[in-house]
Amino acid sequence: MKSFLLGLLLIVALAPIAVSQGSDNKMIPAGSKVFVAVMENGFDDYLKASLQAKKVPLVVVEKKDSADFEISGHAETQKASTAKKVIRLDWHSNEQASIQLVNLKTSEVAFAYSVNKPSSAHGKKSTAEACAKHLKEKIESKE
Amino acid sequence: MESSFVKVVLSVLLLSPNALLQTQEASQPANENVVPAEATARIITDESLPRGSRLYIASISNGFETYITAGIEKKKVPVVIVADRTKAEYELTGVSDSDRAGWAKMLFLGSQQTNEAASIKIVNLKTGNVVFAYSVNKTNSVRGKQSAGEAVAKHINEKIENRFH
Repeated sequence: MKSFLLGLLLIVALAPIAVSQGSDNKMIPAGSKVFVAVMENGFDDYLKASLQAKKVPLVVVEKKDSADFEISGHAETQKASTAKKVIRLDWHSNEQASIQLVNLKTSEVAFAYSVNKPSSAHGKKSTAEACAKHLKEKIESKE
Repeated sequence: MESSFVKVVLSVLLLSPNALLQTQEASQPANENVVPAEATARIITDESLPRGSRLYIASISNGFETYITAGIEKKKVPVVIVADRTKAEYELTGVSDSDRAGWAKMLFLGSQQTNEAASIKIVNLKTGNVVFAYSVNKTNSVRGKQSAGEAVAKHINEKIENRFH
């Protein structure tokens, strides 16, 4: 009976640890070193600027070897066509981008986000800032 | 008269086995090695995709793999996405295609949205079996590749929860 109770207590005590280990791999601690990989149309530069503008608590490094995480992704711009300009009187471009943040130690994807902005007011800057904003929310949520 | 009657009887007797064989062949399948379509479909869908599986998403044209990753994150699909194929149990591969709105579409339909098409499959890396396959076609996609990526993620989730038909 005693051993059964001891076993039960052990399970109850260890259960939260087991649960937390599952979500640990998806955690992005503030102050982590992040490497931003090269993306199409220089979107990586926009993303670096946005990480700074939105005060995302990450340290951007230039060497992948010294990073804890890597951001990679894809970005696409569709400039306003003549038809769009004439018919809709709209000069803004359509932007879409998608990023993923990989933990370089475990190779697991810790965060991913995609954005689509039709008639983007500030072009790539808008999509990059959307990515940065949601990354910051993820870090602060500590999920 | 008698000789012609004998000839007819002989020709009937000679041709009857051929006719019999032809009718038997017609009733039987052409090739016994061909697997019926239903059985093939069963091979694809029978194997389940467990929760917490380690999934590697291979590179897809136009960077669609990152849109799928984002869709999986948004739809809270219970899989672990890994960037290293050697650490994965399953691999997702596929193709995607975007068709931008032309001036005629913009002029006559007043729509500047793209048409998106994508098709994916998930393979068990140990057995080589295809455990899940899905294709999506979105005409006038409101959010472009994002919509297609989220549709893929939603149906992977349904597969995991055994709701996919």
